[in-house]
Amino acid sequence: MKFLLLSNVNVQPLVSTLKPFEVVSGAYNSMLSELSIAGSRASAGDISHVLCIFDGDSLIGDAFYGAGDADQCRMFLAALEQFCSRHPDKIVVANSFCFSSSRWLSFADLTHADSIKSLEAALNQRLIAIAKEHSNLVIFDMELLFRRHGEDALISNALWYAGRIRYTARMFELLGGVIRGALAAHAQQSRKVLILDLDNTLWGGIVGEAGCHGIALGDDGAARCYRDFQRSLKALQRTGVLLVIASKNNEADVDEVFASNPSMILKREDFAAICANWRPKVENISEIARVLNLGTESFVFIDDNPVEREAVRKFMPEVAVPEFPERVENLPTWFLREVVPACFGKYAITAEDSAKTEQYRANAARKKLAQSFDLDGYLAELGIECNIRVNSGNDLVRAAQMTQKTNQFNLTTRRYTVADLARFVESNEHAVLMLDYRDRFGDEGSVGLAIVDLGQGQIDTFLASCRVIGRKVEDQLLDKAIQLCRGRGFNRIVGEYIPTRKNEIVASFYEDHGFKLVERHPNGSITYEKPIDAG
Amino acid sequence: MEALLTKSQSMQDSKLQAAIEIVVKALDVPADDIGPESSIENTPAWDSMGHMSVCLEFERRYGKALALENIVATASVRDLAAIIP
Repeated sequence: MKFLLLSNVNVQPLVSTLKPFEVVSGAYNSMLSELSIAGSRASAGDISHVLCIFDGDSLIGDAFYGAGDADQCRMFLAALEQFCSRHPDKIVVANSFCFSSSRWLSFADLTHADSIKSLEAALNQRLIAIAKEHSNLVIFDMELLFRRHGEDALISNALWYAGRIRYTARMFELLGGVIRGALAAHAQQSRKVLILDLDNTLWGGIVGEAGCHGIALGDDGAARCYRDFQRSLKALQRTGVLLVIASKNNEADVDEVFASNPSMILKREDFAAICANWRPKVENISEIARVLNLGTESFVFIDDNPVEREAVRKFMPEVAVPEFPERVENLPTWFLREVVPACFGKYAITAEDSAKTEQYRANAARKKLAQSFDLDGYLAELGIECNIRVNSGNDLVRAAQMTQKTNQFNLTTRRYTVADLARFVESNEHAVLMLDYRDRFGDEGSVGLAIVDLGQGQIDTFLASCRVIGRKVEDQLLDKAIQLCRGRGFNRIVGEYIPTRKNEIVASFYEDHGFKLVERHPNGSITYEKPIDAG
Repeated sequence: MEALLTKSQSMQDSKLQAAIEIVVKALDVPADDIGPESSIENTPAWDSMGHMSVCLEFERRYGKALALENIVATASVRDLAAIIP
């Protein structure tokens, strides 16, 4: 592959921003002759791509308000069409016409039949017609660059008068990116699947805690940001991108949101597959690849949690994992300006694209199974450090909050106030254990709480924040509880599970940790016991 | 006084160093080819196109647009160091 770069001005700096493509520059202002003369460098067999990155202002000269007739522009378009038709094996790239704002003279430009604005529209219309006729012509919208980044940041008067360079360094970088993106989209190399987290990604808050009507999704403030993000996702889905959910949540909670939250823009049927469970996301992503029968190199993963992003980057480096915006108000524009052009560029959208989700959804429904994943290796990489404080008393507001708000990883769901907890801390009969968590991504603060009745050798409360679920930190908290009971001379420890609509995730917690079922109570709660060596 | 002089000397050195780096990167030449005394006169790769690359590399690094008079007047590593912010 070899690119020939042509222009009517000096665009030499583009050569380095197009690396690693091999780009050779045509002679200065040779674009017209290269396109029209038989036997030119552009028509040589070793040139696979011809880039026409031209400056409209220089090409149009003084033609407006009826003076002059934009001859140079029309000649360029004719030469371009002829070249595309003579060399169907070569890819030709051209920018659209976009005259700078200094070519606008007055209010009349909006309405005058021969204003620069109407000339621009007419020339672009012709360019688009040529591109429709010749599939080897790839055009891109120059105006979009100016709208997004502003003319002042992209056009350099000093470089123009010093060396016929129209653009700033920033513009050359942007042009490099756009040309690359347009070529990838034209070659249909865009990604196909977007994997999405739910909590604090598709809506604000945690559905398992706040409930299906308590999540932030609506018409005001942050809630509207998520709604707009969903709107953009819906539009993307119609271009043929498959949306998939990979979320650590109870499936029932997710179902409820789809069934009864009227603010959801995205409906269940907009997703090709939904994985709401507590398994590592990497495992879910491999399964999604299997059921959709698509390679993970066509996947993009969006999640607000840096730990989840890092895990996917590490175990599936082929998946594109964009950084998540820090401020929620930037979520919709970040997605449309950065993620979509970088990952989901499309050169043409067909009717089949809009029906793609349905087709894949049907296929996905037929398959299901899990694959293995090295969870221990992943956890070791995280560099988790836990610190357990016993009766430290200086964070009881947070402790009370955890008992009030934690619904999922909560064995007994007993709610306590600060005063209740202060009594536990002061009494000799109870121990309040708080687990502080940090890993190489940062400090999460207190994320686990246990209250142990040392008079009975029984765990009264045992909970963990869903932020750390799946990282086995609860094991350390349980060990500490056992150790305290052992210290009081108990030879067994008692645990209790009180089922609620939210805490299914811990239904087998005690059994998984070597406890034996002792008794099922009529109210549904279950008592477990585990022998421990006397201390 | 002496300390002040040393400080201003070391600032000048670091600007010279930055100017050398810009020219090396822009002209894509080995680092040893460019020194404090390099200029358009004595550096073959530093032709008129090379000079544009130097100016663009300067703008890229400092996020600052050069004025036409700076572009025209700058003809050596020392000139370039003098306009480094």
